Amino acid sequence: MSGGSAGLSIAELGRRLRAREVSAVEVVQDHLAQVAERDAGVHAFASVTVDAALLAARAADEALARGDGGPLTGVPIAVKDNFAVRGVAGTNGSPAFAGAPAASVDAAAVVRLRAAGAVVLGTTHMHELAIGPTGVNLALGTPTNPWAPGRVPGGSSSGSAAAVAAGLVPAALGTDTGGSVRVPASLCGITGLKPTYGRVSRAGVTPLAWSLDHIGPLARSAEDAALVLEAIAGHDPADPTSAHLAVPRYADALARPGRGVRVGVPRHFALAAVDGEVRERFTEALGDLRRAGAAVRDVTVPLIEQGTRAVGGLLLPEADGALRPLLGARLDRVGVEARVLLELAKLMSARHYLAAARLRTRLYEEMRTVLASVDLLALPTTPIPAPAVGDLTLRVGEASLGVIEALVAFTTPFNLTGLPALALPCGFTRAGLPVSLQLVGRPFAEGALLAAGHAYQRETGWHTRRPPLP
Amino acid sequence: MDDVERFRARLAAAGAVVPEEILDVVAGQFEPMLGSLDVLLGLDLGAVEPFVPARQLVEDAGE
Repeated sequence: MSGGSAGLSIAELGRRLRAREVSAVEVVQDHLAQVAERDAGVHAFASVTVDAALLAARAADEALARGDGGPLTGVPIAVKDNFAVRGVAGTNGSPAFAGAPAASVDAAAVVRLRAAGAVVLGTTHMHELAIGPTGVNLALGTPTNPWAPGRVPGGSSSGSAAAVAAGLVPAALGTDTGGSVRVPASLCGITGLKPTYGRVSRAGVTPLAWSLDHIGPLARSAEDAALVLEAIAGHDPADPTSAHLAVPRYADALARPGRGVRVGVPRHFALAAVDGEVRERFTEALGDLRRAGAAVRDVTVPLIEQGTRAVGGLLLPEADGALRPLLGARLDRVGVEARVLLELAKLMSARHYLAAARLRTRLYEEMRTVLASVDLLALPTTPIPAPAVGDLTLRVGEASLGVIEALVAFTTPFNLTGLPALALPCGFTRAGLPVSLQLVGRPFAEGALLAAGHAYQRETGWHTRRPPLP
Repeated sequence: MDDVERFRARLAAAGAVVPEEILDVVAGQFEPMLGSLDVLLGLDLGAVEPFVPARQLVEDAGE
């Protein structure tokens, strides 16, 4: 890959920056050059903040010269376009926000990234209003899946995933309400982490569903995701749902051995309706986990399938409650898919919402019981590889599934329960489409989760594969 | 009544508007979810309160 430092991991960039083998200005210029040269083909970026990035890079170089550099100092990172970024008029992926004023302050996670020395390169395209898992955006454009042009990138953090997979940035922030970090990470062949609910402040991020929204990193490896999470995690008075818990040193947790980790597989759910090649790669991934020293066994979570189906009863009313007041008269400018979803919220009664919220308690209790006897759960991140743009239904085994329903089938249970979940590349279909393994941990046990992901990636190397340059 | 007609009736009862030209597509994507939610109403969930993630997860925090 041209561009010197572009394409390197955060861990490697950080090492070279702190060793003064390369300056932050050079690193940022390399990445800006990649974006300028290649983003016309990827369509990942909604905005590129060249001047602010170069200013931040010079400040990073000064910090590095003083010996004050941390793991993210001088590292370019992109941010989904539903985070407030100072000086950027965010779109939330929607033409409804055209002409909106630029943000005067950063979202809390962006403040923390900058405080850690990271350089925000710009904002990334997304599924409109973050309410969809394909990443297809008819109004503002659909990012290219770098592994398979013509296939969806996944959403809603589509541009963040495409930017990382294409090597335009080493990491990006996304939001995940039903799988919006993990689904695009799966379809684009990268690593994506949805931390525990409350681990990362949501202040300054456009809400979708208050009880389901999470913020997390998309990166090339579990190691890089750990470095980003450590920077953005922690309580924030501006977000009362953020947890009053100390933030561990996640990078240190990576040194834990994979040997002895107990992994539970809800086979009754995870392999019931999956594409044949996803099943093969997932089964191989379980073998790789065993080779890394894990003890893998089947577990049962009886309500998990019903839980998945309950998510609409929460997400649609919460989205309606968050977005209608925000949009006001601009609702008419929202695309038809998002408008239809807000209309469908009218079909949800208080009884639906309450039943879904109570089922959620039962599902959480089941998972807590299972996670008392195993350390992690494992299942595919998505039951299908990336569908073609425009596909609405597909056959999975004997079943005919809607694409939306299929894409989020394995991710929504962990938005409902708030448990941390990590998507890891675990191979490819014969057509070259990425397949992803999802590991799920106990509440606020991101350290154990990332350590297991790191051990898996040391064993396999799938995360080091790169798509052809678009 | 087929799925699309059932969906159309449901929209009308709720005062929701979906463009006629995409009604069958929307019904195909979402009618199964709506049916599943109706099933939830009939479940015996026992004496459980709605889940409050910000409280419950902190109480159970740990490796």
